[in-house]
Amino acid sequence: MKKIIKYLLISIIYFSLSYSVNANDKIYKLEILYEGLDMPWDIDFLPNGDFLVSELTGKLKIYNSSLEKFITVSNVPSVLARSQGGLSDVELHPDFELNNLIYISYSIKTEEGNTLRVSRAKLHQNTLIDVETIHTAKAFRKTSAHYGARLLFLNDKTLLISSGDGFNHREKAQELDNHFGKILRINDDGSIPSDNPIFSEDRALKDIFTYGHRNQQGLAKDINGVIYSHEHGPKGGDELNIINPGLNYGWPAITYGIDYNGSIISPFKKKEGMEQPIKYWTPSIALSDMTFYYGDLFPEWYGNLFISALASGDVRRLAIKDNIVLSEEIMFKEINSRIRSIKSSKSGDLIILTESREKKNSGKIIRVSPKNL
Amino acid sequence: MHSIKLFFSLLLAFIFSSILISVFILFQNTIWNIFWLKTQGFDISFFVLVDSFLHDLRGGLSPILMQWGIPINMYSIISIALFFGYFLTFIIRFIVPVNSMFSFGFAGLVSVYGIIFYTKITFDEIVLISSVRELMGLLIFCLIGFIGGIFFNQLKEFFLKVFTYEKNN
Repeated sequence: MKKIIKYLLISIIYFSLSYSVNANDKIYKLEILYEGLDMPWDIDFLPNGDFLVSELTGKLKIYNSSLEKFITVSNVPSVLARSQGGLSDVELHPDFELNNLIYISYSIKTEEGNTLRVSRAKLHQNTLIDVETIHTAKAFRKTSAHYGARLLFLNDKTLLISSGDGFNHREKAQELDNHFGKILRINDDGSIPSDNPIFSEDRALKDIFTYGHRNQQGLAKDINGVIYSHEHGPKGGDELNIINPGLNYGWPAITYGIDYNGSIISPFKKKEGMEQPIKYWTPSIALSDMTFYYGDLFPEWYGNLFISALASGDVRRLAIKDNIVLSEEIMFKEINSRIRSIKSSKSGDLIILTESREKKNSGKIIRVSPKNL
Repeated sequence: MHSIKLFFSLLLAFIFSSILISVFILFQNTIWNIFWLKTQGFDISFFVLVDSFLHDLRGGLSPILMQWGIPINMYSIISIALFFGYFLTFIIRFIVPVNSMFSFGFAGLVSVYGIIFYTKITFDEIVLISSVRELMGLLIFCLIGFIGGIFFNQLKEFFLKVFTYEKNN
């Protein structure tokens, strides 16, 4: 009996100690840099360390790191700020230090319907000048949902644009004469690259890079230039895909999700000629953005993919090797908010944007840096 | 006594017509999705069709989160819409004695259309029942509501007769 009590006591002490070690095991600290953004959507970093932040409501702001305050950029094109639409991605040209060009994606209302537009402009003393529309998606709809709207410059300085399926037009993601449910590739001036994939269908639009997508809000490339995209599934079936030109990613013909009303969209999950995700989430966590981490501050995270999520309100750290997801860790749950965007800064921090649909001007910028720094 | 008979006739007719309309709406949805997959070169066997339909019948029980954060399933949405449609028609018919079959058929039509209209305004033009995104689908959907309404009226009369017959015997 004495032995049992002794072992019990030892076990209790051991588990108590291990719990306290785990509780303090975090290698990072979270620091709120700013609170009061109105539905922030994306963030990008200026060479001087300041941030550019887009708000869905139509404002583009520069966060002055030294003054710790925001300056609103003027002459931003007017946007259709409704439901999921508004000012979305902001992306610096790879040669920004030479040409001062920034690219923005946003939804607009036209006579044909609402759609996604991409413009570029020079950022000059907190003002956009020489604003030029370089792409208007042929994805006109009545809804203000599923624009996609993520931008990514590839290593060859061509630009990828994710264009969502508009919700009510999901079948068009399988047709090549429109921009619903596509990833598009254009040159930095809006022209179409000569080496874009060629599709056998005559009516196929020349700027289509891949098709069969739903609402892709994450685009990222790894250190080798491999392109990753993630997209919201319906009820379940959020996907992470490796993007290769000319391929069909299956939506809505194959899916791991079901419709919001509980009915099936397709009973099929696989089909020859349609790509499989390298990972999918059921139930949905509502993937919102992603970034690869190649900073120096967290050597343990080097090469990992960080995916932010709205519904689950956390970040997923994925270790990927040879197109296979080796592990997934749920992180930053303590933020306890919808996480709209995550980016890796040049200094090696991770920067997170949060949003709240209920409370206006409550979006935050949160910096993730090493605990002992 | 007549009021009680009428109440139970209405209740049973409402339950049966709600079930009929729900099943037809979900069947239309299944057929719509499966038909599109067929055009995409998928091999659709009878088993796939039946299995998909059974899945959709079960799926109708899964909750949809409405704008107030209240979860509600498809069967409840359809039943609530029909309840209001039939109730309003019942009241109107007290005042204006319009044709019973036609008025309840029309009530069924308006009720199911109301579901689409309501979800559109709630979810910014988003349509939750995929089969009604095109005009043909919407027409069939409304026809289901209309026939369901007529079915309600016929059932109501039928149950009233049954209860009266029981009493007379």
